[in-house]
Amino acid sequence: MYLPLAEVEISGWLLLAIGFCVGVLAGFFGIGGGFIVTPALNIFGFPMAYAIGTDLSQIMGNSIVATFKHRKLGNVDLRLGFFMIIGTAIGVEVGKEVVLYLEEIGKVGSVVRSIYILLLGGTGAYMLFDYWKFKKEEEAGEEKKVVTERVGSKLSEMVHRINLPPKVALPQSKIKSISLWAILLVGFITGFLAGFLGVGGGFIRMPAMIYALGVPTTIAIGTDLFEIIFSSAIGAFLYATEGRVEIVAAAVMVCGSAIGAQIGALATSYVRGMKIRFYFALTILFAAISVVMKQLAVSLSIPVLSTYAGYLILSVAGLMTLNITLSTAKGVIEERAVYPAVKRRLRILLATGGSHHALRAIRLGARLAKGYGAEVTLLVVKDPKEEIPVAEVQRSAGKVLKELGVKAELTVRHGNPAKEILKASKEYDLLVIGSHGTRSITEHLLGDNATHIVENMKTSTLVVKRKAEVTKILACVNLPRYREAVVRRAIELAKILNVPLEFLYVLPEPLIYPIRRLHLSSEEIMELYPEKREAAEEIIKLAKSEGVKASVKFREGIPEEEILLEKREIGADLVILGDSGWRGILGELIGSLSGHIVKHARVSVLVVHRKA
Amino acid sequence: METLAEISSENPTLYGLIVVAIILVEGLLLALFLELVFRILGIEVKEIPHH
Repeated sequence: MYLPLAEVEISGWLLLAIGFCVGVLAGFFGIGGGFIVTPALNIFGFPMAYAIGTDLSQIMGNSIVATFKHRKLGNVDLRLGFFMIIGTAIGVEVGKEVVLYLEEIGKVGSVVRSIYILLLGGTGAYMLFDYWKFKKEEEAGEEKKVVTERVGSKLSEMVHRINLPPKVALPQSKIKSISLWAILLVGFITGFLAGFLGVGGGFIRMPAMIYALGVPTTIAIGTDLFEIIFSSAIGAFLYATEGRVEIVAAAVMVCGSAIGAQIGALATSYVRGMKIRFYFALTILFAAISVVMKQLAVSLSIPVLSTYAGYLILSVAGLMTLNITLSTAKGVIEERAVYPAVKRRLRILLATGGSHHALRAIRLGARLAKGYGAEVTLLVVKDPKEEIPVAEVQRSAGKVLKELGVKAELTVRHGNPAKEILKASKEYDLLVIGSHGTRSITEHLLGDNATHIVENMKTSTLVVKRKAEVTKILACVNLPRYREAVVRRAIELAKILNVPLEFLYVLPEPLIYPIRRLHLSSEEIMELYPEKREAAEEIIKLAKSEGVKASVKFREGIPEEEILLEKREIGADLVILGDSGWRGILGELIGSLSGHIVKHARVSVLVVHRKA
Repeated sequence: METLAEISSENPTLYGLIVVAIILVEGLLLALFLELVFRILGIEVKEIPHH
C-alpha cells in the first residue's frame, strides 16, 4: 500500500506482523513498545518523524486492547494509575524543559543517549541480577521455594515507611497504606525520564512500580498500560497535528497488535512473576546494546551500524514474541490436558494459622490445585494472641507444596484468623482451611473458626478435618439453586482425586404428618418420583462422560441427619453441599445446613458458594 | 487516503482529532471483538472481582 503523507510504499502484511509482535510484547511486559516499532518502521522506509508519530498512534490502540484484557484479569489498579498519571504529566513537562535547556547549550544528543543507555542497561542488569538471586535462593531450597514471585524490595519498604500524609490504600496492588507523595514522586521521576529521553516510558514505569512501590509484577504491567493510553493519545494527537501520523498504517498495525496484546496479556497467567521480569530484563538489555550501536554509528561515522541496531532489536522482539506465544499455547494445552472442563485458572487460597490440621488442609488443597492447574496463594494468619512461628509454618507448608510440585504465592496477615481469612478469600474461587473439629463444650455449642468461616463465607470453602486422603465423596444435591454447581464441583473433584462419588437427594419429611415417615427405599422413591429418577440418570450420565464412577441415592428425613447417616453408611470422607442458610447475626443464631454439617461431620466438607 | 492527506495539510487540528478518534474506536471495538472470539475459543479468563 502507498502511504501519501510519508510517501512510502509498504506491505500491509508487514505492518500487521510488526503490530502483532509489539502487541504480544506490550501485553506481556506492559510497555508501549516504541523502542521496537519506531526503528522497525524506520528500517522499512518511514522517515523518523513519521515512524514516531505512527508508532504513538499504534501504541494508543494497542494499549487500549491490552488494558481491556488486563482489567479482565484483575491487573489494573485504576487508583494507582490515576495518581501516577498526575506525577508523570508534571515529570514529562520538567523533563522536556531540561532537554530544551541542554539543546540551548548544545549537549542534548550525547547526554540523552548516554542516559538512555545507562537506564536501559542498568535496569536490565539489575532485574537480571534480581532474577539470578531468586533462582539461587530457590535452588538452595530456602523457604521461598514455594513462592513464584517476590513482591517488594528494600527500596519499596523504604518508600512504604514514608510517613507523609495523606496516605492511601491500594488494595488492588495489595498495598495497605502508602504516602500519596511517594506515588506522585515515583510518577514524577519516571515521567521526567520519559520526557527527557523522548520515549513513552513504559520500560521505566513498570520496574519502578515493582521495585519502588512494591506493586506485584502483573498489576504493574496492567497499570502501566492504562497510563500509556493517555500518554500515547497526547503524543499521537500532537504528532498528527504536525501531519506526522500515517493513520492507515497505524490502523493496520493496531489490528495486528490487538491480537498480539490478547496473547501477551493471557501469557501473564501462565508465565508469572519473576520469569516475566527475566524476559523483560533480557529485552531491554538488547535494546541498550542496540542504542549503543546507534551511538557508535554516529560517533564513528559507520551508518551501517545503525541499520544493524534496528535489525538486532527486531530479531530480539521476534524471538521474544515467539517464546511468549509458545508459552501461552503450551499453558493452554497443558491446562486442558489436566482437566478439559476448566477453561481458566482457578484461584485457590490455602489458609493456615499454623496448626497441624492446617498442614493436612494444605496437602489436600495442593492436590486439588495441581489437578485444576490452579493459581495458589498460601495465607498465613498470625493471631496476635497466639505465639505462631510464621517462618516455621511457612517452611512446613513449603515442604508439603514442594513434595506435590505446587508453587504458591505467600501472604502473611495479622489479626483474628477467621476474620482475616474471610477478608482474603473474597478474591478466590476456593478457600481451603483445616479444622480440628469441635473439642470443647463452647466450641460444640458455638462452633469453631471453621464453622464461623463457613457461615459467613465469601467463596466456596473446603474444611479439611482428620485426614487429607479422600477415598469416597458424598455430594448432596438437595438445593436446586446449587445443584448444578455441586454436581460440577463433585465430578471435578472425583476426577482429580480418582475416587468414586455418590450423589444424595434428601426428601424432606411431609410437613402435615411429621410423625409418619414412609420409610421408602431409594428405589421406591425413584419409582414414586419419575422426574427425580430422570434427573439422577442425567447426573450419572454426566459423571460417566467425565470418566467418574458415580451413583445416586435418595433418602427421606431431616437433611442434617440423613446426610450424616449416609456419610457414615458409605464411609465417605468428603462431603460436598451447597451453601445454605442465613448470613450475619441471624445466621449465627439460626445456623445453616452447611454450618451444621461442618460442625458435626468428622470428615472434610466442601461448601459450594452461591457465586460458583 | 488522499482525503486524509488533504485534511492533514488543511486542518491539522481536525486531523489530530480524527487520528485519536479512529484509534480509540478501533481499539475499543477490537478489544470487545477479540474478547468474544477468545470466549468462543474457550480461552477466556474469568473476570476477577475488584475490592
